[in-house]
Amino acid sequence: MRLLKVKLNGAEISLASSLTLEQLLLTKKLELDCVVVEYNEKIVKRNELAAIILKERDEIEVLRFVGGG
Amino acid sequence: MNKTRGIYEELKPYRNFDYDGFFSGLADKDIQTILAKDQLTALDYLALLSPAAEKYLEPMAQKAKAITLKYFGKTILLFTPIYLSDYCTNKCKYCGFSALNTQPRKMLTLEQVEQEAQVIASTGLKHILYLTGDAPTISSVQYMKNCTKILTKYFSSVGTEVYSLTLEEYKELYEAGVDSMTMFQETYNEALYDDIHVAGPKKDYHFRLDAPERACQAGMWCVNIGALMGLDEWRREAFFTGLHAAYLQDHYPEVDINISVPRMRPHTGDFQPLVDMTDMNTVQYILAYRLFMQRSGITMSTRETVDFRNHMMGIGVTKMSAGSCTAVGGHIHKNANSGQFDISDERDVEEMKKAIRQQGFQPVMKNWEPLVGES
Amino acid sequence: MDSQEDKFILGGRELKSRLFIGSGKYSDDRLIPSIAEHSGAEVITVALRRIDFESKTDNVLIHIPETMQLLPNTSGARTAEEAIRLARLSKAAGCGNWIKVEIISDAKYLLPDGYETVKATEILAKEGFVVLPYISPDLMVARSLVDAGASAVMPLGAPIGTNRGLKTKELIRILIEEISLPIIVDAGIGAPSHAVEAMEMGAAACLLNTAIASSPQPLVMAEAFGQAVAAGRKAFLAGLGVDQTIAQASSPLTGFLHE
Repeated sequence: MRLLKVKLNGAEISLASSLTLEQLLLTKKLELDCVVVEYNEKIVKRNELAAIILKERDEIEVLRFVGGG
Repeated sequence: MNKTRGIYEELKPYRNFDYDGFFSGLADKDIQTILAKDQLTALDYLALLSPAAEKYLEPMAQKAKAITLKYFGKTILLFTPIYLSDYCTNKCKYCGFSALNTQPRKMLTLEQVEQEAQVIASTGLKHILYLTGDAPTISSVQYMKNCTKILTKYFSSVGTEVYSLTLEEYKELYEAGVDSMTMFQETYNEALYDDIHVAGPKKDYHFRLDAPERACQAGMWCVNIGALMGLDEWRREAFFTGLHAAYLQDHYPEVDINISVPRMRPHTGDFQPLVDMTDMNTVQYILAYRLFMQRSGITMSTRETVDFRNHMMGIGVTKMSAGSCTAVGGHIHKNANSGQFDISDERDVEEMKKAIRQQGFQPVMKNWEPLVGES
Repeated sequence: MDSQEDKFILGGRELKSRLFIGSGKYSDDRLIPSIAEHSGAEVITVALRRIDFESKTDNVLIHIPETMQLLPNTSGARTAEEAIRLARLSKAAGCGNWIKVEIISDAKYLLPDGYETVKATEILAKEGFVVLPYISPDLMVARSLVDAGASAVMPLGAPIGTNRGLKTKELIRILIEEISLPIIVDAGIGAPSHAVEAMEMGAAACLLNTAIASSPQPLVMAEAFGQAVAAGRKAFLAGLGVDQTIAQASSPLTGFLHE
């Protein structure tokens, strides 16, 4: 099985192909209702995560709200 | 280019304002409170123009003196007018140049402009303000540009005080070397304006009212406005002039906004002031304006007496004309035409400088050097 | 003017309290609801950050009462482009359309970049955001922000986190006089007295975080700030008694009128 490389929050990771974006995030034990996801510089809504199949050199940013002033 | 709502709209709330009610509602305490404030609102300014503020002229003067000193130092800038042409198509009841007056007319040739410029420049003056009557086919914008080219050879600052022009025309003058513009609305009272401007292009109240704003948009460095005191009730004219100046300063912060406080003087013709504005009223206006528009220059012309001008230095007034002659060609021909109005202060430039020094001030002949155009 | 009818409306929302608080730097994020309650604040800032997969913290939003107006900031942005991106992400995350534009490219003093702030404000305001830009109190920048469609202007009293008070007081005063938008003093306020001072001058509101979060008793301090902001506003509305320092000179300037 060929591994594919994607960028997650700036770090390169390898993963098995045919993974969806939702699956990837669930493996990171994230509560998907509380995060903001950017896929190749586009904002992805919660209900669109399952339909995105990751491919080579995708860039994913996962953000959450933290305390600020 | 014009994104603003215009001064006419800005003044709207004050056209049918209950001035008498406002004035009668003012107590001593209100005036005292305003005198202690750093920044005045429009209504604060109106309160200082009120009868109730008359007994506070001395504290107003003390404060005005401190503010003037802070922003202008101990200086008085001198300038002089040069009358290029007295041809006029307007019939304005109050003006010596009116087409209703059957005096012979005159317009300087470019050679005469040069001669006048030389005579004036020999006094050391560096700021000049040229004036023409309202006769666009005779004293055209092209003629003004030709005169400006000559004047810039002798003077570091050239101002224009002519009939209302379009934005494009102001730009043309600016490019020719004019750096400042003076325009008096005469009266802000529309009905009265219509009555005293019997006929001629000047009858258009709006076109004149918006002219200073067009001059700001054209890039002028200094714009000077005013009402001719003596036409209508002075408190209102003073109030509207101040609001107009504040409006221009707010929308064109890059422009130096000044006012003049011209009082009507006797002139050829039989129309005399409709309203008497006393020395005390004039002082109150200048002081109130200084407290309201702290950084704005105030000009006083030779219409005023020597004694009155001497007392006005330092408590508000920052610019004065000197060695004035309101007749076309008056600097080279002592028996020139009758002037636009009679002057009171006949001191020549040297005497004027001496008087300013005696008051503890420095007479400034030049505070401006253009960096653009021909050197 | 009666303080009863002193309405403060921002971004279409009427606010009773003129204190805006932050959600950072608390010893425990679970304090936030009590801080909000004690201070009376209705607006709270939050920041958007990349998740660190190694050390997960709670999403701060779960501690913020539903009724509060969220004010996401763009902290971390160094350019207009980055700020715009963060603003859009916040909105997509369901945080509403308020945004505090904060663009800092200077890591030493953390002073905001006015030029980039104006650029971001213009674009975000066009997209329908309620933009609250954080700036050094610079009149020309503030004027550009008015033209760009900002909903308020937030000048700093002193650099972020310094608690030094209103070091820029004269410049803020000029903004209050010249700018038609609400002026919200943000950063530098370290004590309730500083907040009172800002409000007495005519500021529309104060935004602070460190001063409450770093207090040994944050709840009591939150209450103190809520009262300070309200008191300062009241004093402003009442009109401060003024120093009667009009000098009476020995030689009158207007004597000549009576000669």
